[in-house]
Amino acid sequence: MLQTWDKPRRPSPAIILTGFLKAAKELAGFLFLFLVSTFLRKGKAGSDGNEVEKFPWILLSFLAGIIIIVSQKAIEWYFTRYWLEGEKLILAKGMLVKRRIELPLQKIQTIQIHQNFLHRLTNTCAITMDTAGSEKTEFEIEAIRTGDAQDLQQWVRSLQQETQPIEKNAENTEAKALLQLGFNDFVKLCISENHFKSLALIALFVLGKAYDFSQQLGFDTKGFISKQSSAFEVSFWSAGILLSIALGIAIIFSSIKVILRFYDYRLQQTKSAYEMAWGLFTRHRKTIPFEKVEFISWWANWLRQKMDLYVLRLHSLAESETQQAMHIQLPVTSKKMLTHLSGTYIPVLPAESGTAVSGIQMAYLFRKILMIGLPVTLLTGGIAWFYVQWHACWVLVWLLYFTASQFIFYKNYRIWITDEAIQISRGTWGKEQVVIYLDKMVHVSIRTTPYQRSNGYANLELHLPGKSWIIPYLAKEQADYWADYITLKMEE
Amino acid sequence: MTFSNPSLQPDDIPKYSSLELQQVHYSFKKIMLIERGILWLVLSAGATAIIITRSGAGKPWWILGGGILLTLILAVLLFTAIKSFQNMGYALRKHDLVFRKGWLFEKLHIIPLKKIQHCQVKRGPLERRYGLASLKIFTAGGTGADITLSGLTQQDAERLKDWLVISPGEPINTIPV
Repeated sequence: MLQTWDKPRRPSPAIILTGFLKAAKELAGFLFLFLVSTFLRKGKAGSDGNEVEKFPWILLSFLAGIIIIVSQKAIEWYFTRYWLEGEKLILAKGMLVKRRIELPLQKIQTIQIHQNFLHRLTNTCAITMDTAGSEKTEFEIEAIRTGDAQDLQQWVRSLQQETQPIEKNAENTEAKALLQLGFNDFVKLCISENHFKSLALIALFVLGKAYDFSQQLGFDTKGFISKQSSAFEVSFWSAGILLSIALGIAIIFSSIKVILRFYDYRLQQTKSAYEMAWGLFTRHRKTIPFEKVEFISWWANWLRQKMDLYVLRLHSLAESETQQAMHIQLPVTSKKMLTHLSGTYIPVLPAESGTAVSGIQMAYLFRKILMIGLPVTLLTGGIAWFYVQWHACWVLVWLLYFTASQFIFYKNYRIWITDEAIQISRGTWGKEQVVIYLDKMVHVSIRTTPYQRSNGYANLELHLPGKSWIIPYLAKEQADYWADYITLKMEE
Repeated sequence: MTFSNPSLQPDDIPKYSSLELQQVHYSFKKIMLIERGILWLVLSAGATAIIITRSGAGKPWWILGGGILLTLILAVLLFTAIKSFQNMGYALRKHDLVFRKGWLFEKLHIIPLKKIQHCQVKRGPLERRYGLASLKIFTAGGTGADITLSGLTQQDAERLKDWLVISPGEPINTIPV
């Protein structure tokens, strides 16, 4: 049974425990490094021999750090209250500086529940709510009883619907399962991950740790790496083996990432919202009402296209482009499923029923080569000439690659418009599609350079709350016509 | 209320390109020129400091070359300011606001009035000196203004703000001065 939320209440005291464990983990890391470096430096040049004597003081500082953090968390817990007041959710906190955050229920876009390992131990979770007004999360409670979080989520959603007459009597409890991942889907996801990115992440992590190691222990990591690399005999087989090992590690790393992220992935649809849950160690639950979905997009790299695998993203007003954790991304494992899921947002895609706008003009390609490709080639080639003479010509390979990729991008760019939505398809090696309802846009603009003005081209910019889409190099008359048309549809 | 949704022919769609845009106040040209002048002075001070410290004051080619370059930069800054001013303009329609700015990179915005969330009148020191104001127009989401309509008299900026927020679509002369 749902409880009422009109009386102020505190978060769970587990907030103090989670704060303590987080602080202890961080401080223990520093303490460990100190201990290792102290004992390894003992007796070496530069050591004053007093490291062991300093230890009790370091330990004392460690304990003082823990006490300060725990006290701060305890004060935060004691002075934090949240409750529902009319059509607003209130969060009040702070001892010396009092803060009161009021969130109008209608402005709440997404509600997220996260449950990490510590939360599970204490039967709590973290809850966040976002509105369209700010890129930061406005409402966040680090630890709340799991049942309370779900109850509060239900309350907020039901109160939101009461102020919308169409949904007033809608039965919201029946949920229809839309998506669940099986073993084969996991295999597809693991294989098609970006392994180069994983490799780069591993390399960055290892280099970062090596730097820390050399700083803390005075170990010459750079010299060690350089000595090992010069001793390494480069041959076809040794390079092949090294590459295979690197690729193997990258695949294992990517697979672990996929499993951690998509473990027990569930997407379901209620009468008014999408609900999703995912994650192995940290479990996330997110709800987004249909009307809060601004637009949808999906993409697949070359390999994923071949494997019929896509990532569908539901874009909402509240999310920030830079905070990937806020993005709602769904792995979709077949074209049929993709059609089904996109159908819940827009029944018929503009590509299937709309007018095809002739794509971007050939001048786009020439200008890209002239303004980016050639200057970069000449500059890097010119500099390289002083060092490697004729080998500098290799930079022409990059120019060829750049030209080919821009040509493919130009050929792939497609636009369709109906009287209610626009669909854009673009991409070079992969493909991205975006569908936007015209009335979700907030304004349009036409951008031109002197070259475009004298040759009859223009960029059409479609502005959504917090985001913009640029369609480059349309014929000027066409850009003008679509700007007028979209404006009319926004105003209707 | 009866809902009607008549079909439209391409020629029936209102065209922004046929609009006569209203120029902003002529004093705004002075502000643009002064702002570019200040930018040029800052650049010149930096360049002079580099020339003196790097090459010494006794190398006339450096001074001559730097002088010619700075004069050219000043000419370009002033020329683009004048062209941008000439190109700047706005128009009000029953359902939207059209605003054009820039010369090298010209941008024309069409903002439906019903999408405007709030407006803000801003007056910098130079604008106060010439009795002008800028009107910042905000739509949903985002962190900053969607457009800033500069070069309005303070009176026009206030009236336009009230019209956009309180009674968009009504004749603007119904807003009290």
